[in-house]
Amino acid sequence: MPRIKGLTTGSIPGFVDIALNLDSKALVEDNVITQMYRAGRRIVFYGDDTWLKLFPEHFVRHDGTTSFFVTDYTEVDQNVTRHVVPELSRPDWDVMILHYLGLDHIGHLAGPTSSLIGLKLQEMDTMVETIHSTVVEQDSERALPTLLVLCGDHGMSNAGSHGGASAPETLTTLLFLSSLFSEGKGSSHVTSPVYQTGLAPTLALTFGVPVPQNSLGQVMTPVLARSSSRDQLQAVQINAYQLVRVLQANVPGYNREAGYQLYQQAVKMHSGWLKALVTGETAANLETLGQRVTQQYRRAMEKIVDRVSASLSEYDMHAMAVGIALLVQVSSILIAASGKFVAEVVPGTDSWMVYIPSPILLLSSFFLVLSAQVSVCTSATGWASAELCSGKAGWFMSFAAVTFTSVCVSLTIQSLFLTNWRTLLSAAAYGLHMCCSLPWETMFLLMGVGLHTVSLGSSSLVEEEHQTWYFLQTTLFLLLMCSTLQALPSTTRLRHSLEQDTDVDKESDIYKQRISLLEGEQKYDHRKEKTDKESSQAEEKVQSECGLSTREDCVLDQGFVRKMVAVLALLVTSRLLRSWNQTGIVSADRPDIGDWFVRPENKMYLSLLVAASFFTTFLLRWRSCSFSSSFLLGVGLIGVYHYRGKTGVLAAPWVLHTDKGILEARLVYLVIIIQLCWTCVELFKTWCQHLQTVKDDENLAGNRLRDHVPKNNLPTTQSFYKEKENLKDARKIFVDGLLTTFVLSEALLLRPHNATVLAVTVFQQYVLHELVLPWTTLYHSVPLLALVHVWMGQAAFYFQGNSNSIATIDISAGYVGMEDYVQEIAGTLTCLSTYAGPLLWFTSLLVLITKKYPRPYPAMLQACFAIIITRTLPVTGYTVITTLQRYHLFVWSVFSPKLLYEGMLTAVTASVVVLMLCLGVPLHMIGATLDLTHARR
Amino acid sequence: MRSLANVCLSRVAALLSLCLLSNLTSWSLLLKPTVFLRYFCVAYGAVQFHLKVDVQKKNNATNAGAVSGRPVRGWKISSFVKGFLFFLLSILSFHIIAVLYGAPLQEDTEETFSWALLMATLTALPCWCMLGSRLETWVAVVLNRPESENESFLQTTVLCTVVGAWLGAFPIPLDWDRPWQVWPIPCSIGALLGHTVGLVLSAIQSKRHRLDTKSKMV
Repeated sequence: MPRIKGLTTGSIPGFVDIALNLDSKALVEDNVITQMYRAGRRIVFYGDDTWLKLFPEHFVRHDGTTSFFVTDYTEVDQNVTRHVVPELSRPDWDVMILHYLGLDHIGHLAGPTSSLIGLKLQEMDTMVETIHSTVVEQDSERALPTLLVLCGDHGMSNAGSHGGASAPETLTTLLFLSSLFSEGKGSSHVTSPVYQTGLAPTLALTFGVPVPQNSLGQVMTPVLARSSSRDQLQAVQINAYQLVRVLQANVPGYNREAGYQLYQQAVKMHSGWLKALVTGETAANLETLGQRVTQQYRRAMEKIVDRVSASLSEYDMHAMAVGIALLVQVSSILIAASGKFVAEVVPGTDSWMVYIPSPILLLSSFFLVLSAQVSVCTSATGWASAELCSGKAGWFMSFAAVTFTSVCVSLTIQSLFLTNWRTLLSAAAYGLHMCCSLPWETMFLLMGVGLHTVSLGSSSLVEEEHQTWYFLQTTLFLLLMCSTLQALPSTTRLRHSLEQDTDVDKESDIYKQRISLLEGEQKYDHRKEKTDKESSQAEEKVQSECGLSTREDCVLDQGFVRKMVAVLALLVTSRLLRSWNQTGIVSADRPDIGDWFVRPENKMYLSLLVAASFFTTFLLRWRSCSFSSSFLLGVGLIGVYHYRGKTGVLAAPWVLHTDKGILEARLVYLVIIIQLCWTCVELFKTWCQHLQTVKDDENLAGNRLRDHVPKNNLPTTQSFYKEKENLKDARKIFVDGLLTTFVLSEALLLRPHNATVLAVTVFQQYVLHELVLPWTTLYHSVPLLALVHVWMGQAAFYFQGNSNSIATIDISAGYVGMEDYVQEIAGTLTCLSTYAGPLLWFTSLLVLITKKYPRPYPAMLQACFAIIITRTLPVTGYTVITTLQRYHLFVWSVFSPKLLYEGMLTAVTASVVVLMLCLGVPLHMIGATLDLTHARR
Repeated sequence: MRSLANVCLSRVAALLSLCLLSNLTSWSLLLKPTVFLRYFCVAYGAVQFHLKVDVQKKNNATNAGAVSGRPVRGWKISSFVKGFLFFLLSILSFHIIAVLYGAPLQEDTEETFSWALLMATLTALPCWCMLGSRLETWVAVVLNRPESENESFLQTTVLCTVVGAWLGAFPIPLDWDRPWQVWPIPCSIGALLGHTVGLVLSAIQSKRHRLDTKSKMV
């Protein structure tokens, strides 16, 4: 769409155009099609229906083809071709536009090395031949010759996509064919590279319509070579005049610009040439003079275009600075609060009073910041932002920013005065010391967040960000493996014999440390009524972990093997997924497993793969789900397979004819909704039941008190435990049902070959939760668990084949089960499928926390806090980096798309966090009810 | 008898001279990484074996003797074969680790293998030389807190080598298009540098340790 705009308006498409590509509205900007329409030319159109949305009612006849079913590469073109020959014989049109989509679709589907490309190019070649020969034949009987323009709107990268800045993506063909050139013999005249924007003015001038208002294009003079010198000069003059108008509109002091002055000289030379024409100079003289005038116009136009495009890419530094300031404040608040979080573990350090600024300080800093903002807004230097300094919304945003900043500034000043530097320093030293004594994997997790933020400074590491995540993930797993090896009982025992004097102190150190970790966790749980049984269990656990009790060696060895195998399984599956979808820039065009399965000749294998993946997913989810939930999952997965069979992607012998499968997809949506409702209703029902029992108990207890019946009799305790089991189950079933619903919707939305990615992700979740994490030191700290899940989510994001380039977004997910384009729904669905990985891992974090903590709200707060910090730090760092790099060569192709991705991921994460905290309340309250019952009995 | 510090420093000298020597010939690390790595591993392995004997003798009574329950006098064939097998095993596991980190599975096998050989020579071989042929001991000494000077030496060099190779991977995805950015050159350079740093560090440590004990004795 942005390219069509560029071709017809001659202006440079803004970055926002690409971001809003999904939504094509009517083009209001002046363009060559509208100019032709106004000039009374009759236009016919066949091809991509984006044109119909851009130019409604411009065409006398048209047949649009929807371009969003990327899998179709024959129908789209046949739909165009069948109109061509009949139209050529009809005399009632002036302009015919044909837009063939097949080649683009093949590129997206199978890449430029596909065997389909050759066939498609031959087909296109035949079409051009048909049209050209007909046109040349007709031209012999007509006064005006016909112009046939053949052009591509964009090229194709080695991976088959486009949207980047590499040469194969940005270079494309432009061919002018006419019987006018070399009298229809078809020899080539000129070959030279031109800008795409040049097409609009060239077409406008050859058709004798006004050049589009905002065009930045320069007319291609070789095309006009057959017309008279006078006409040529006039065309160039019109184009130059239009560009001067653009310059006047965009640059304040335009008459001092070099381009404008060159233009003035050119105009003088032009008038001199016209005078010479009248006075009757020789033709040769006129020719050379005319060429000089053209040269002068060209130089002027080049200067003007450079100046205007530079002014178009100027940055709103004021708004950017305000944004960065706000982000820095948010991240420093979060970092300060993380210190607070640490302090909470050691109670009684300081109170929240520190966080209330004194009114005088607040007022003064408010006026300080406000005056700074107002002075920038009213200053004449041109720094003032158009967004922030005008309009109601702008002033509101300014006011909010000023208020927030003033609170932060006053708090900072206050804390500067209040802080006892010596204690702060000693605390920092203590913190550093503590950090050094952390287990390896913990240290690495914390370090990794910083490493990732730093890596965003390099444009190639942004392009290849998946490598960063894969690298971090693999290292984390290997460190887990090392710590398993470290705790290996045989090595520990060996050391006992190795050193004659057994180092009891060290062992008991670790022992104490683990105990304190456990205790800390329990303290955090506010589990005041910690029973003896529990603590002895914990001790046993620690003992076995440290390998102190020798009689369990045998069992432990088994555990060791299981642990090693589990971590190895994680490593191997991650490596598999890594080569499933090659992504990034360097290796995107390498053949990967996914590509092989997508090939048309491997349809059978793809079907088997999808079926097997769905089956594995079902088995894995079935283990932990209630019957109804897993039943619905099974039905849903079969539905998804049927839907894909109906669209013709998968082999389904029972499907007799293929179509868009809208009904099938909608049925799966229905299953998803039923599952979601069912899960919620079940939870609500159990909760109500439980509240009822509590009420009954109260009555019962009252009765008992009256009747002096001993409180703790056996039957009630038993029933209590049973109830507790039930209730825990209800919560588990709820979160598991939620995850299952989510898995089902991703199965529907993700591309078929990514069903395996989904299955493996579910498998990894199972392995990590059941077999790996419980053994590690990470298990005792919620923020670290959250970090692990964030990392896994990020890696899964790239496993799906995503990258930091706009080109890899799979927009076809937005059309699953949709008749036509509805922006909100398509956007939501695309977002769900693009961020499937992170979302799945966030949900599984919710499951883990709910299962681990009876009263999960504080744990969820901690987890959300960790998630937010891991989001804020990169975003803050990245905005600063992008601002510094704003004149970098790759700013539009690498840094800006990444900024969009960061913004989107932040939005997704924020909504997940809000949802998680909302869900945390009922889950926590159920836990609380449980404890209440416990206390009562 | 050589002190540990001297062993470290002479190994550093051997390592550096090997690298410099290779630059004079046609098989330097940048031009022919696989050939260089293979020759280097053989040569440096020999250096390690040569310098091993001193250390082993020094510790006969304490460490190595305790492992097998009796003093080790010479190299038994069976134990040598066992150690060699473990060495091969460590090459294999480094190869697997490289693949897990994203090295291609089917292409560039020779490059990956040469890197694995280098890593094994720089980490597993010293362990074999000093600790004898027990895999558990190797793992235990490398991963746990060191108890003696020799263990600390081993741990420092092994960890520095591994961390060096890890850090060496950073420049691979950068788009500078330099010839040395091709796998396995950066990681090999990282490992070699890390190993050198480890050797120097443990030399310093051992010097300091010796000074401390001397001052205590005085």
